[in-house]
Amino acid sequence: MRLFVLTFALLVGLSATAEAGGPWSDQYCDIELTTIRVVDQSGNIIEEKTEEKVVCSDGVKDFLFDMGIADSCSVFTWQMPLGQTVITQRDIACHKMNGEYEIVTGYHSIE
Amino acid sequence: MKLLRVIILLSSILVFSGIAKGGELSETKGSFESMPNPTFLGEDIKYGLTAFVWRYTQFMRFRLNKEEKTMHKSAVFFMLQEVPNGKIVSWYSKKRKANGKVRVIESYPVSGGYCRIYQAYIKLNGTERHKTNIGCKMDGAPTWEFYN
Repeated sequence: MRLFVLTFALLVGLSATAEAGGPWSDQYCDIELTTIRVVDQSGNIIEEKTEEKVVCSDGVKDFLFDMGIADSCSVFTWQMPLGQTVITQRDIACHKMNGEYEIVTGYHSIE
Repeated sequence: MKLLRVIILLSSILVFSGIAKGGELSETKGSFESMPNPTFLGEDIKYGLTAFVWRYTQFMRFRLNKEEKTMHKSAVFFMLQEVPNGKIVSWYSKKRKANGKVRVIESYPVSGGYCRIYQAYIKLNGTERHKTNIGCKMDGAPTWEFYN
């Protein structure tokens, strides 16, 4: 009986501490919301519904870490003055395993 | 004889602790090895006016293409906004032998904002140049202003 209780407690404990792989203690998931509107020819909304989708990027982040490339990558914005206005630019920078940072090529955009 | 042993032991401890202290890395030491030594600006320049927005002089007379220019600008602004002193931010071109690195040398407060002295380095087809510049962010200003 005592062995059964111990085994049960051990199983519960193990299943409760399941974690994502690699260095991540939490999963990198996000909920994306999509609103779908059905509109007739005169512009009246016939139907409107919101769909939720869970998107996880653990695989990519684990790959970067396991390959010794980077331990984190993030989007950042910066303000570029152009004439009298200021334009917000967006890029991705990765923190590499050697402590340096690198701007990722091909991911520049303007907000 | 016993006294001699004690003296040898104490002096060796002193010597080894001296070596260990010399090997410690300061905040910016280490990172400097992978970039040329920066040109240090004088105190008068350090607290002088930073009157320019981003200018083409920051490309150090290199004929970079649009993507390379954007990456260099991006590296400078990311470094100024996010990166601690001494840490290198780099960029590479996928299409040709062009790369750049930037790092902050010193950060200091000024009246109404703060400034960061940084070193920028660009290498294109074997030719390399580097320069030291200052970027300042004043309270309420939308973006950084530069010394040069």
